[in-house]
Amino acid sequence: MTLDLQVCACCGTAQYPPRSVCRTCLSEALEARAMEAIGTLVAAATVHRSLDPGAFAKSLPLRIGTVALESSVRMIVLVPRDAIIGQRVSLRAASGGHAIEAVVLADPSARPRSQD
Amino acid sequence: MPVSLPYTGVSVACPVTVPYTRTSTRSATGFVGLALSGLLAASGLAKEDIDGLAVSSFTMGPDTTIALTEHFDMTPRWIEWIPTGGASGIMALRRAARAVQCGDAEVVACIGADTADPLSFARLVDDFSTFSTAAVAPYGNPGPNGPFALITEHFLRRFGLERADLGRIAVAQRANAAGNANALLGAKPLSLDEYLAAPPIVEPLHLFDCVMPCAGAEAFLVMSRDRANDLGLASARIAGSVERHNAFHEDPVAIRGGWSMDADALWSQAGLVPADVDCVQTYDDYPVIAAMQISDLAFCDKHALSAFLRQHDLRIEGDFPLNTCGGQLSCGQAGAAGGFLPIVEALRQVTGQPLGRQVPGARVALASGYGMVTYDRCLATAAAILEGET
Ligand SMILES: [Zn+2]
Repeated sequence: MTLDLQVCACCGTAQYPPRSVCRTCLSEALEARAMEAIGTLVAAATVHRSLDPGAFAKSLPLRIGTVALESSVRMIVLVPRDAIIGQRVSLRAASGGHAIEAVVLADPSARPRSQD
Repeated sequence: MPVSLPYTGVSVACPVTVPYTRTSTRSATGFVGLALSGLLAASGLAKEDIDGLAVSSFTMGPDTTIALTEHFDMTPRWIEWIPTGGASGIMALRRAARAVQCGDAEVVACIGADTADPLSFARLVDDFSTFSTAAVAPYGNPGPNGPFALITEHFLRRFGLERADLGRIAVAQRANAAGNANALLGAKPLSLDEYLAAPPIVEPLHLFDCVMPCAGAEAFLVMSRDRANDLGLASARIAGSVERHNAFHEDPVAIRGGWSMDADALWSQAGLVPADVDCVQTYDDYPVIAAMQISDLAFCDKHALSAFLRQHDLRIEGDFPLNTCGGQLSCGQAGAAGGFLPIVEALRQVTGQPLGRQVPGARVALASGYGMVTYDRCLATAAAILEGET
């Protein structure tokens, strides 16, 4: 399971949301790199009211969370209802739309193999 | 610790509030004009006497301060445009104070103003920042309630607070709003049970954790102390102030703001300790952010916040008067004017000009600001301590 993340070709810093230059060294040499995005679920919340209720009527309530990646990137993502704070998760693009979703890793010590 | 020069000889005066309304057909420029008119009436100055103008607004686009000079036929020799929302009031104060101190302007009008039509808040949120459009909207488009629900969930769990602890802030502020005719929710008492039973918005945030967008303006003047005396104005001095941006960006979830980086500098510049403060006016887009400021500004440790909020009476007549006009949670959030509300209310209290009730004997007030949630936290923080001079 991989996720395209913006990475600096000069210093290796990963960043999200995407930027115009590297947040560390300010280089413009940025590339999208498919990487294993593994981290910890550090906060979660449940969206009941959307500013765009028409678009999200069918998906509310929607659980979201903050995932702290090992690469010192933090991301707000979709989170499964049964995910627990502190669990290790892997991130991937959700099907349809532009969201990223967390998948709970079955064994906290195991790293999943890339499936795509 | 870097030390800023003191604000010697600079005074703040003439707190002005243009009444809030839930929505308005008046333009943001119109609200700035009314605020300016209010400042002239309160000071006895003529428009020509105002030679500095600092403005903050979200809904004035595409215009900025320079366009206002033409709108109002003014020829100032110093202007500022401060698009930092919740931190803009204190940032305006700091810039105006240095301009006056250095002679770049004699009298600076500082104004935060916004209008609100029924669709403007959704539009504002849609276009608030490149990061939020790309990286928050796809997640149920929760607006700022999304990131702040995550901050609240994490903060409660990490520091051992309950929802009821945050409820105490909302309930006390509603009590403080009673008597403030400008507080849109001031006539509606709020009990802790009602707070706890409110419908969820983005859990753990419920209805009374969220501010109501509205239209309005807040404003004040900065000038020399001599000028304020000549005009016979009740005024305050700036005992100390700080600002900081994008602090602690390494924290995966925000548990603190730039205040905690600068609290020592603030108290040291002021020559005061937290116990010297008679009332505290925090930015209160959400109760958890008010709680965060109470701890970051050194009134109590984060792990002691729950006990602090239970043990202290946050009402005007209490031992820790907090957001004494009711704050944005009770007045409404008039866009950038919300970023002026803490400093304007601090000025009102230490000069004896409250819209609602007076904190008995208030001489020293702390105001703080927090602005611009571009992704998952606000980036701009500021704080100032005012001391009444009269
Ligand atoms: Zn780099």
